[in-house]
Amino acid sequence: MYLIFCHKSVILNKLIKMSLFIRNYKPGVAYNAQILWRFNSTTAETVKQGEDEEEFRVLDILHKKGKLQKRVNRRADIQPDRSEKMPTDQNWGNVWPGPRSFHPSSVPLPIRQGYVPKGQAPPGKKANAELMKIPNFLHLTPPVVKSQCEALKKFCTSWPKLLNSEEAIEKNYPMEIISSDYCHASPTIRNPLARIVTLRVKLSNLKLDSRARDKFLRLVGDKYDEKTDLVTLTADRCPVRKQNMDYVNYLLTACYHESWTVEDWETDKCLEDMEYYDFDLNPSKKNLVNWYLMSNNEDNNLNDEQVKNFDVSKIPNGVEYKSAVSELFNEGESDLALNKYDTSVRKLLGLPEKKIAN
Amino acid sequence: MYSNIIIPRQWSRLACVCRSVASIEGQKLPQTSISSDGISPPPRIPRGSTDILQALAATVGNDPTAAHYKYHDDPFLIPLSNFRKRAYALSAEAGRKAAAWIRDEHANLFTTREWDPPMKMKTPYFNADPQIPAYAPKPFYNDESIVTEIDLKYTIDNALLEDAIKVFELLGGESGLSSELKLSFLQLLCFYNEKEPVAMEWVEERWFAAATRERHATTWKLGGLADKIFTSMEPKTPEAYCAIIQGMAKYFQAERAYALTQEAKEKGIPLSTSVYNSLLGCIGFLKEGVSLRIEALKGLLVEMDEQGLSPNTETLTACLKSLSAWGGGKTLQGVALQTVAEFRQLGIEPSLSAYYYLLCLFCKDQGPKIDILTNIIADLEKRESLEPTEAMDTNFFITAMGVCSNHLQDINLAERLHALLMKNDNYKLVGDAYKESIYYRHFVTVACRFAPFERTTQLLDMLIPNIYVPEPSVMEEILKALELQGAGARLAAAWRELLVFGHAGRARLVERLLRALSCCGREQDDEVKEQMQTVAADILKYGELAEEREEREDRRSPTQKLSARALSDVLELCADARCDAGWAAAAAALRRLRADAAEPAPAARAALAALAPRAARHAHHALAAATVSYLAECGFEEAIPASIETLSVILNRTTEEVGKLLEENKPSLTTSLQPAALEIAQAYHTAKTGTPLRDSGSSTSSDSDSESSDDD
Amino acid sequence: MNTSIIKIAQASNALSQFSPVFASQFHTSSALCRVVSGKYRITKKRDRPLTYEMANPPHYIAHRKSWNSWNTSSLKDGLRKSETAVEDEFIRRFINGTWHGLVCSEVIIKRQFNHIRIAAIMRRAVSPTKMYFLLGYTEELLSTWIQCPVTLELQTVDSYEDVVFKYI
Repeated sequence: MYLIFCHKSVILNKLIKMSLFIRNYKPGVAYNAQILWRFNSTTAETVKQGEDEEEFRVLDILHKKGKLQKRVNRRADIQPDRSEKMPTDQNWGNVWPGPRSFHPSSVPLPIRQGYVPKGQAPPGKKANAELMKIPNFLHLTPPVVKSQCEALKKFCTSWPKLLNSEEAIEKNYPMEIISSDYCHASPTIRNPLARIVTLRVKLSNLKLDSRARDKFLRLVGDKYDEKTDLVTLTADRCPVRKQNMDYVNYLLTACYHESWTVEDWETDKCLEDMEYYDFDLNPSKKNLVNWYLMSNNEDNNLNDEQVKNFDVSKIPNGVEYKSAVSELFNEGESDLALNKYDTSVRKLLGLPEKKIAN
Repeated sequence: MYSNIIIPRQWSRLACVCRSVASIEGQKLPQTSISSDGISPPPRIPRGSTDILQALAATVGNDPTAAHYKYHDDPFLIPLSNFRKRAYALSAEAGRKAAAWIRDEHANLFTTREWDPPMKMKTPYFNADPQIPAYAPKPFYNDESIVTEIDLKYTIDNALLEDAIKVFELLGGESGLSSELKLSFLQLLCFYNEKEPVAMEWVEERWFAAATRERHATTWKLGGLADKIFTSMEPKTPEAYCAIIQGMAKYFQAERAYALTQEAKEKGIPLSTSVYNSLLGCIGFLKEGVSLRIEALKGLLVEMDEQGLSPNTETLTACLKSLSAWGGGKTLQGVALQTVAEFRQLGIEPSLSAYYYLLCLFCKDQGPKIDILTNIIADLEKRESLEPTEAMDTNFFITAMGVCSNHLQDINLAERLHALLMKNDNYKLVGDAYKESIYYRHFVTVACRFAPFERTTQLLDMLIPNIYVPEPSVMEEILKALELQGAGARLAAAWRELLVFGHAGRARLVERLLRALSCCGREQDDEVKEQMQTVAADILKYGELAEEREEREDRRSPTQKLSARALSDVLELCADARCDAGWAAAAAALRRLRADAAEPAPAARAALAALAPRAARHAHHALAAATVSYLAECGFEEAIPASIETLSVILNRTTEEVGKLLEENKPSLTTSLQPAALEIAQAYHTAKTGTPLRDSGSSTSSDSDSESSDDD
Repeated sequence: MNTSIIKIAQASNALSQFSPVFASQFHTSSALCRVVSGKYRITKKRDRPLTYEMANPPHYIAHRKSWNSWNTSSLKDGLRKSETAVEDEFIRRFINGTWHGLVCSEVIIKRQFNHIRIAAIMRRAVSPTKMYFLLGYTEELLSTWIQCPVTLELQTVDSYEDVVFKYI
């Protein structure tokens, strides 16, 4: 649309001024552009006059004008980013109080993200979907963490003073119950793995004598770890943690009491039934004791019980001998065991050390 | 004790990772004092289910750059005017309502566990576990529904009034109900007067609900369902009487309520304190005249005493409500103070509502200045916390701020009141959107008028636009305050605010702004001046654009045009134009003035005279010429020196030479001078001779913005 | 589409009863993942607009671009693997249909506990009022459908050209 105002002077036509005031209407544009043409000419006025009287419309076949005028409809009423208004001493925790996807207009940082060939700048923060994808920790800045910890302190109780070391904890709380809580992204808060309960206790903390201990170990089987001396009982057979916890407690109680009960048939166990070599029960000990007493010219008429209870450590090198024999029987013959047996016997009998022939 | 921590794989650390927690459950924890022996853990500190969340939320303050969190944080979606705030919030709620309608309409689709594939039918987990009832479809009742008393109980508990009535009818009316259920149904009907309340779910609707002034008219439905149920109840229990009387009193059916009270008294049925409270609230409907009413009020209180009922805070509020509704005057005020004093003796402190009614009674707009607010605020400041107990509690802060602003005009009191509102979570007492807006209107007005300037600007920065968008009247106050302090940069920024708040079409405000700009334009730095001139240019452009739009769209209500005074202000402001925008503004203002054939304000004459040579000096010859000829047209004598000076600048001669030149023969001038200079010469002669020598045919040319072509 | 998935699932279920091998090797498409899927052909005029997401083929996930769904289901021993995947697909289609012609980027779905956050870049082609209506509608309907609180986190841009990374 063009509005053309043509002014010409009538009285003095020496000087003709024409002002064409053309207004360009563009809907949606904030402020109209005004284009002003001015013809200041003193000659050829008549020709121009004639031309301007009637305007010919130009046939625009390709609609070039329309194409040229097509423009991005930028909205003028969008306010500037609020990050520009933010004071530098603001409390960031108030601006970004919780987990939220990145938004460029609220974060006053010049961030860029994206892979580009060398020499180019990565895409900026506006309209950058990559920045919106990555979980940000803008809500957990160190000052915020600090203030939240302060806020939560009133719900916390102090740690018992005497429980200041691992040893103290172990001494006062010998039993350990382990269960896991799971946080996951799903509409349900239940997680089947949360039902599993593990109980751990050091075997040395249980009051057991050797027989009961032996029986206990037989009962728990591979739940016992010799290296750490820990008995680990795990239950996952019930659907709920509470039930599993009751179950592990029951297991431990049952095993403990069971190992203390002595069945009638247990007394029937004789030397042949032993599943390992016990030096104290075997004739070797008797021979050793008898030899020792004899060599010291002492009274030699001990009964079996007395022999069994005889302290080997009274005999010089006796303990070494005992362990060597036990090892030989319990762990089978090997060069090492045999050598050990050899040295211990030599020591015991006071024989010279073996000379290694070169 | 801290073993078995599952170490997550590196990449999964970002996600919400399953974390194991070692616990010491199962061991007997001695529940003694704080770790008495140093070994046993101290007893657990009791806490509610949301206490931790609330403690964390308390660490977050408010962010003045952000809009309320119900709005989306995006430049496109943050509302900046009151209209938009309302429109956006309600649109979002309309969307939620649409979704809720779909959910309730197709309830059968929303109950199935859609995402459990058939082969996993036996999986133990549901979609949501624990289930969230808010996301489940609401029950729907129509004539075919099969209902039980459980449904009625559900609808009554959830205050679904229309559904409750429907279920009640389906259950067979009055006969088919247990008396207990009938009573609670009666209570529901009486409380809401058989009108469905806006559901709690629609927060925004309640927030933006038009502030309907409480109608003091009898709205109780006589012979309605409540009455019917009441008559059908046999025997009538005290609770039933209490419910129906309170309902009637609440909806101002005072006579019936009073009659029923008498009936109950005769039958020896005990009534509760709240019944008397509600009766006290509507006692004015029974009697005419202040003294009679006061008598009746006292009579009721005595009656309460006789019945052995002890009054409570609501009693005091009800008394004051009645007193404040009966007008003003010394008598009522005296009675009110006496009542408050007596209740104080009983150990009953007035609630916020009571204070609200007191303020209504004492601080009338036209009445004498009575300062009871200071004492009230002092009392409230002493209190530990302000708990809302009655519906009218939310009226206190807005009324008190109104008193600060209009009645007492005391900024210190206003600040104290605002501090009180900001304390703890007292902000919930602000009421709704309408009340909040009025509260801030009063606050900003009083701050603009009486507060120190630094405090005012600080307050404005904090409140506007995210918390409060000023109305036109408040905007004017702000402009006045800014003008008074000569805050040029802020004034320049104020135009943008006018634009975004939707006040740009208000000529009154825009003229006020221009006035302010021109008044304090002179003392500003060059940079600020430039900004101001740009603003002036923008304002004129905006006006032109609005006019064009009007022509195009043929609006019925035309936008107001700027007055000649305002245009003169622009000229004054742009007299020492520094940038293109300044020149453009001056040119546009001049054009407008000439188009309207209006006289400039006297102050602008000097400005115009100064403008012309300056324009010439900066090669804006057309503008210079237009200025001078305008001065000449209006017949001001400033035209003569101005034209001489301007011409001297254009022709690069001394003024004497120019003066001589102008006195010379005219025809020789026309041939030798360029058009602008010629026009100035023309203007000179016009001013000198006092007769416009211009041709009638060329006078229309002043419409166009180019130099007007005057030729002899 | 949902029913068809269920049908396939049922079929596989029926088959798996007879042959566990078949069930474990259930596969529907020929292996084109490295060849064509998620890749765009260069046009003659070099005027096909690509966003950053489209410009990087799938094998660059975790190298040049990250995932569009963030949840714990995809971790080892995660729960509701298939349900989550199908729900995410539902959400994507719902958003693309409800915000028709406005979505300029992928729909990013992040889940924390039972909270689902949906992020996307939208065009400013409709008025803010309409956008707010859609916001409220989408959040409420998805919440009731999935029975989780759903939050939309939108960023608006002037036009689609703002998200274009390059033309091929």
